Amino acid sequence: MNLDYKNILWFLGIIFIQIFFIDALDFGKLSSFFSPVIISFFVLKQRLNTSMFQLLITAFFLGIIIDIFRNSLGLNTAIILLVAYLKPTFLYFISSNEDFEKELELNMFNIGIVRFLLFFGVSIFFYHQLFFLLEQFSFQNFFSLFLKSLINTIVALLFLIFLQYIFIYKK
Amino acid sequence: MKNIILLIQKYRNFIFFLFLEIIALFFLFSSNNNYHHYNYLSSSNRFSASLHHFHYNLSTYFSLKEINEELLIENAKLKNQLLNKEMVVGQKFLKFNDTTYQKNYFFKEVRVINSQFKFFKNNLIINSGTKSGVSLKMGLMGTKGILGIVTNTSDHYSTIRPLINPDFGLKVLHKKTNSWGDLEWIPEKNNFNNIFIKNIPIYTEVKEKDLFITSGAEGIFPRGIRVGRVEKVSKNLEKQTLLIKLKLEEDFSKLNVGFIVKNSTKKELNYHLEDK
Repeated sequence: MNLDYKNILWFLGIIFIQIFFIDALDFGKLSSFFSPVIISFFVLKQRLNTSMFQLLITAFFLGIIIDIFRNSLGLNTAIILLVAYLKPTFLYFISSNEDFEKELELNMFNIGIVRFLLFFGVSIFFYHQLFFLLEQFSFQNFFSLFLKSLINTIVALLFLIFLQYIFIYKK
Repeated sequence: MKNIILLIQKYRNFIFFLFLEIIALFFLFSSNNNYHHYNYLSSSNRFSASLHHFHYNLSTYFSLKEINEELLIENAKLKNQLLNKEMVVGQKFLKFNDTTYQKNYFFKEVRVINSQFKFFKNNLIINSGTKSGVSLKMGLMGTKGILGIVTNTSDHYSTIRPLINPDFGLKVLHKKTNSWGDLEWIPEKNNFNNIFIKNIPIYTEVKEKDLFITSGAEGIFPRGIRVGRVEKVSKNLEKQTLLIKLKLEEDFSKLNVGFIVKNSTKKELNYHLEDK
């Protein structure tokens, strides 16, 4: 078990940022385009040698806590579990043979900005698309949902870049 | 037997994933009638609501001036009503403290400590619960119009289902013609300050900026509280009804104060509503 205190801080911090910062942003009539869900960052950035069991357990509790705060029980949990389980599949987008070390966290400074954008972009877009479809539970207005999840993904990526510059960046 | 154990060992990640996913989906699809959801895992439980309350206490400081102005305006309106009471002609004595003048609706001031307005199914949280007399299916109104209905309570907090939620339903009246209509909020077509009204007959004369008010039929709200003003009217020729887009009186992105409406004759009314 490589449970260090930084991970616990990130776990609590990402819940705090999601609930009290991102969900409280007000962009007027366009605010449904600016409501990204960034909690999957915590699951996706874990080291490669984290076992799937640990990953799924963390994803489950992260999702449940976010769902309790947003009063949408089960919605985020179901999708973040799927993202956690498909994390190795998403990793194929950035490397065919695993050429980075298993001890490193998958953040922007360790894997490079292009790989970061590819890996996190694809998985966070997947998250949002599934999220809006499951929330609505029909394929109506599919293209507006597609646009919505695309914009939300870009906003989430921008936000994550800022977040990493603030909390991870070392000279 | 050995093979089965080996099989389970091989697919243990997938089985564990499936197990957790089924729990999550069970929560999701039974959330409307789930005991755990309504008693522990909703956003009005003690822990999450008190964190929301803390956040409210921090952020409300910056909008104190606007809240104050809103309340002043409402106060002035109430004073107008109170001091310019219409004269009663032809009645010699007014009786007070009589059973004929029993109060029907009671109001309790509450604070809206968290309001969602940009999601699919939005919810509000207020800072009073069962210990201050709030119970299920009571109404919540703001300073200008109606806000929603109580769906879940804990000791000190309650969750409100606002107008801007696809599960919300209420009958409203067109003030000029007394026509009945149904409120419906469609997340893809509406944003947080408009709503649709359906099932009003096509021959009704509805113009822009007409008022829609509550009907008082369900006994949740008294008759005559504002809902909103007409923004756009379009005709549905197949069903022979009007589809009316309404601009809501309340701005759901800037909620701060509200009033819980308690109907003292609700039990009696329910008896008549359910008895068919």
